[in-house]
Amino acid sequence: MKKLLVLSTAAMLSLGTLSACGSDKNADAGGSEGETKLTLWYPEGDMSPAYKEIISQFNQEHDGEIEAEIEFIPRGNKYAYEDKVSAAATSNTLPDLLAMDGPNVANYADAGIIQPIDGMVKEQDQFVDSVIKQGTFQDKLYAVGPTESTVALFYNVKMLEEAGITPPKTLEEAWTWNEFYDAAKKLTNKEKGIYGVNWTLDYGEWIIYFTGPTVWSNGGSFIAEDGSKADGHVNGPKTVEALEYLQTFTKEGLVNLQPTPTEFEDGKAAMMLMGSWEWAKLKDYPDTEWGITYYPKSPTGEQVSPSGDWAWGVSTSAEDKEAAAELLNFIHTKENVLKLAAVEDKPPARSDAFAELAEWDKEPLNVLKDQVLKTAHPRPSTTSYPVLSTKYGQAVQNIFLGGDVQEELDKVAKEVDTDIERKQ
Amino acid sequence: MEKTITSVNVEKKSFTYETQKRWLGVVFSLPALVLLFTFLILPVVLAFVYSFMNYNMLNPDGKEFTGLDNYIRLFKDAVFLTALKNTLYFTALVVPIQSAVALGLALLVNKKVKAAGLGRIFFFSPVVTSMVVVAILWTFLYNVDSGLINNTLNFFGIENQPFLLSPDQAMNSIIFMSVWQAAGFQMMIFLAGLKEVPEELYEAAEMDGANVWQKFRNVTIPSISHVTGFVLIITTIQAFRLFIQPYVMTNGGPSDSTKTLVFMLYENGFQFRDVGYSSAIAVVFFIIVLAASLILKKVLKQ
Repeated sequence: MKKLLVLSTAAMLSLGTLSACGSDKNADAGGSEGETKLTLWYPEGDMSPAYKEIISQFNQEHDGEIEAEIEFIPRGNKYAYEDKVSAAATSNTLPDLLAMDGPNVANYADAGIIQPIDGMVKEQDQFVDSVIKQGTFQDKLYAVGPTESTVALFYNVKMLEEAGITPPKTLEEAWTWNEFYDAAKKLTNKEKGIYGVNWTLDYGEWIIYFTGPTVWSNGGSFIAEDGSKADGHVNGPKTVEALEYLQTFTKEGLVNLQPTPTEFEDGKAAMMLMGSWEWAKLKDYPDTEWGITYYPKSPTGEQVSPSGDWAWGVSTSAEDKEAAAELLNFIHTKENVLKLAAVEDKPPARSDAFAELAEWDKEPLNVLKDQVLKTAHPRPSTTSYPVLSTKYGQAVQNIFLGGDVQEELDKVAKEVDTDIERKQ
Repeated sequence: MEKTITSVNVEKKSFTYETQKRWLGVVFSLPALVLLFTFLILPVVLAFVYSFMNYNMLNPDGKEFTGLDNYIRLFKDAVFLTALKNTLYFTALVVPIQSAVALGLALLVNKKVKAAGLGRIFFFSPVVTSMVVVAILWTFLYNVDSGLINNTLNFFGIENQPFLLSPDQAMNSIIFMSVWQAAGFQMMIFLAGLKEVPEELYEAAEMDGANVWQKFRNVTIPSISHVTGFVLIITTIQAFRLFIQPYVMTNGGPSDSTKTLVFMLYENGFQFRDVGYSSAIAVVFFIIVLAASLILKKVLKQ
C-alpha cells in the first residue's frame, strides 16, 4: 500500500510537470460555457490604451456571447513581433485576430497562416485604396487596417525662414531631388553642429519604408511585379540611381548617421524625413513652429509616397469565423477608426472618417491627406519580403556609410532570389 | 516445509526491495529526465534532421527532404565564411584578453584590505547587469559626435573615431566592451582559486628569496592551473556564442563586419523563417564548438 502511494505520487509529480505547460489554454477555454473566446495580438506601443478601450467596449456589447482578449507584444526597433508570430505559427498557438505590418500580408497568406476575408468586411468601399491594395494577395483580400501612414518632410519653420527657403505648399510644387538637396545643403551648419536633414536609421522595417518613394519616384522597383525575381529590380539602374542620390546626403554630412532621438526637436536638424505619426509627438514641443511638406520627387518621375500601416487579419486557426468577423468589423467602425486615428494623429483608413476631420483639410495636415489619397504606393507584395526588407535595410546602412551602391544592392538581389527559389 | 517457505519469503522480499529501490530511482528522476529529453536532446536531434530539409517556419506541413542542399549552400555562402571568420576572430582575442584581465583583477582584489571588497563589487557589477542594457549604454558611449569616449579622446587631442560605424573598428569595439562586461565573472572564479593557494607556499618562496614576479610565476600560476583551464574553456564557449552585442549595437554591420555564426543562425531561422538552413548552421556551429573545446582540453592537459 505504502509502495503504491509512493509510486503514484512520483508518477503524478512527473505528470504534473508535463501538463503544467499546456494547462493554461485549457483553463481559459473552459471559462464560461457558450461563450466564444477570441484572442488578438498587436505590437505594444502608443496605440495600446485605445485598443484596450475598444476591446473592453466590444466585450460589454457582446457579454455572454463573445469575449475578446488583446495581448500587446513588444516590437522594439527590430522584428521582435514578427519573430513571435513565426514561432506561434510553428507551434499552432496563433491568436484569432492578428495584426501585421502591410508587407507581411503576402508572406503570411502564402504560408497559409491567415485566411481570406472577402465578404467579411462591412462597408468595404469606404476604405482607402492603398489599404485594400496592401491587404490583397493574389486577388483575395486578407487584411484591413483602421489607419494609414505615410512619410513626409517635417521642417522647422523658423530655421527655413532664416535661410530664405520657402517649402512647397501644394502637391504640384513638391520639391524635386535637386531642390531638396540644395535646401539641405543650405541649412547644414557644421560649425554649429546643425544638420540639414534628420532621418532615422533603425534595424527594422523603417529603411525600406522611408527610402521606397525615392526609388519608385525614379521609376525603380524592388522586385518584379509578380514577385518572381529581384535581380534587375532591387539592383536595377533606376534603383541604384535613387540610392546614389540619397548617399550624397550622408557623404556630404547633411545627415547625422548617429543622431540623438530628438535631434530635430532640439533644433539640431532643420528638416526631418519621418512618418506621419511624428506630428503627434511634435505637439510636445509647442515653443517651436513646425511645418510639413511633401516627400521630394525624382526630377524625371512622378510624386510618390509610402503607405501601409498595421492591418488586421484572421488567422487560419480561428475557429469561429463569424465571431472573428464581428470583432474585425467592430474595430473598423467609423467611430473606432476615428478613435484609433486620433491617438497618433494617423490618417484614418476610411474616407468617411477622413471627411469628418476638418483639421486634415488645413495646413499642414493636408499634406499628409494629399499623400494618402493621391500618391500612396504600397510596399512590394512578395512572399520573400522578410529577406528583402532585412537585406535591403543592411545594404542601405552600408551605402550610407560609404559602401558601393551597385555592389551592395547586387548582394540583396542574390539573397532574395535564393529565397524565392527555395519557396518554389 | 517451513524452512523452504522462509527461504522463499526472504528471497522474494529482497527481490522486491531491490526492484522497488531501482524503480523508485527511475520514477523520481523521471521529471528531470523528461525535461532534459524535451528541451535538450530532442531539439538537438530535430536540428540535425531539419538541417537536411527545406522547411519554411510558417508552413511546417510543407517541409521536405533535400539531402545535402543546405550544407552545399552553406559552404558556398560568402556571408557564412565572413561570419565564421568574425566568430573566430572574436574568440581568439576575447579569450586571452578577458582571462588575463580577470586574473589581474582577481589579484588586485585578493588583498586583505577594506577597499578589496568594494573593488569586488565594483568589478562584478557589470556581470549582473543585463547584456542588452550594457550594449545600449555602450552604443551611446561609442557615438561618433556626442559619445563620452570620443569626447575624452578629443580632450587628449585625438580626432573622433567612427567606432561602430567602421568595418575596421566595429568588432574591436565590441571586443573591448565585452571584456569589460564579462571579466568580473571570471575574476570571481580566479579569486576562489587564489584563496585555495596555501599561504605556506608563498612564505617558503620568500625564504628562498623570490621576488613578486617569481612568486606569481612559480607559485600562483601552477597552483591555480585547474581554475585557469576551467576559465579558458567556459570563456571560449561563451565567446563562440556572441550574439547580443552585434544584435543590439550594429545589427551585424557595417558590411557584415560584426556578423557572427549565431547572428546568422537567428537571422535565417527567425527572420527569414528558413529553419532548414539555420539548422544546418547550428549543426556546423555545434561541431566547431565541440572541436574547439576538445582541442583546448587536450592542450591544457599538456
